Amino acid sequence: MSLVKKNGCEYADGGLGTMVPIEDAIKHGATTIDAIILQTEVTHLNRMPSKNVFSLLTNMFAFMLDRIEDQNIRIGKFVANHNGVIINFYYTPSVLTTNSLIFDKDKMSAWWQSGFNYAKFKSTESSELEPQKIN
Amino acid sequence: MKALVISGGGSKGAFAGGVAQYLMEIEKKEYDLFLGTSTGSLLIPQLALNNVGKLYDIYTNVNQLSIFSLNPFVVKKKDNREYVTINYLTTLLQFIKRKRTFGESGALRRTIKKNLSPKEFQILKESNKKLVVTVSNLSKNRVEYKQIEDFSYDEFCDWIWISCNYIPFMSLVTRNGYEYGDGGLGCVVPIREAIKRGATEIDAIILESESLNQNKVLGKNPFSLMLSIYGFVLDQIEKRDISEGILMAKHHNVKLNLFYTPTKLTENSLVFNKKLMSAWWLQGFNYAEKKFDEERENN
Repeated sequence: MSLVKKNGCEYADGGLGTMVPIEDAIKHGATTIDAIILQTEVTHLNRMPSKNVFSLLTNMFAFMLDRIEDQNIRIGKFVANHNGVIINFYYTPSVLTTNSLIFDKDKMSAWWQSGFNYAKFKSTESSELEPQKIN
Repeated sequence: MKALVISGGGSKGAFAGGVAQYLMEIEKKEYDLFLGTSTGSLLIPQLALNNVGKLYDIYTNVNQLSIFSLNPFVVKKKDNREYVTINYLTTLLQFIKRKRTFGESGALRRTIKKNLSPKEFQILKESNKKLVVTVSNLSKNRVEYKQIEDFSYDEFCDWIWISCNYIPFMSLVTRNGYEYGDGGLGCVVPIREAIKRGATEIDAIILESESLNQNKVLGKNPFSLMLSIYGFVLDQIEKRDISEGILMAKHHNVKLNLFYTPTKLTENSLVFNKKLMSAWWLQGFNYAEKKFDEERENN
């Protein structure tokens, strides 16, 4: 995609540096955070072996971005713990796609619905664990 | 348990050699755990053997030929300043040959074996020191840490090699059906792993300056732009490794000393220049000495 110049500096996708900006949310004063993470919590699939230089590069970038995401989440948990912040994580329940740059109307409508249902299921699940509060 | 952690950083490893020499010879530090990524993995066996002299000779005598079997870079000179560009012809040939990397590093594998004898390996394996190198398992999407106890001479030399294989410029290696590359793709500074393995005092040498003052100049074509972005992402990973290490050290009451390079040593750490590397070694030694002197004055 495009590289953009603003005030003499070159800018691109924030995901190259921070995938899940939990730490920044805490810095801005958040005390309860709902974090939506567009990955499954554990990796189930092995990455396909690369066939040529370009697919190797794509694999490498994906690998590095995943490491950044892991770091963001671990650091986020540390900082949250330290500041008494509550984080609710919402991971995707299954692998949605292996190429997120393809935009398919049917699939995306299905994912929206699946996100809604997942959150609904998760919130009933977690409230059952908590003691019932009256008022 | 005392640990020495050395980050990735190619030829800048010479600086780490100087810092480590000061720590071990002058401050008489004795480490139980040695953890390295990339160039750090190359350094730790000789450090654990206390062979600083030999290490100095290795690090001031490597050149492109002892690393690359197929070198994707060319060093050019302009106004007395050396700089690096891609060798477009080799890269193109690799692409036509349907190879998956721009260069190959079989020579480095031989260099590693030439400089670490089976006898030295046996001494290390039987000692109570732990050596761990960081590698990236691209297929499994995870970083793995390989420790000397679990492997034979050939296997461990290969893990050191793989830990240094800065893909796509060096070889991509398949082991047990998984594709592996440079540990730095996933973890440049493995402080967290040192703490997980029980370190209570850590000296970490980071081959990067603490703050970046210059603006980066991005590449002019898609290829060199990609390289700039690759560098950017690696820097981000390194930065987070350090902040995660600091947080975890605080949380576990671990004493953590960080040694950064005082200035940006080079733009391209894949150029191995004898003169520069000797100078960096000395600079590392002097920097560590100065740091300790200042600390003593303050106390």
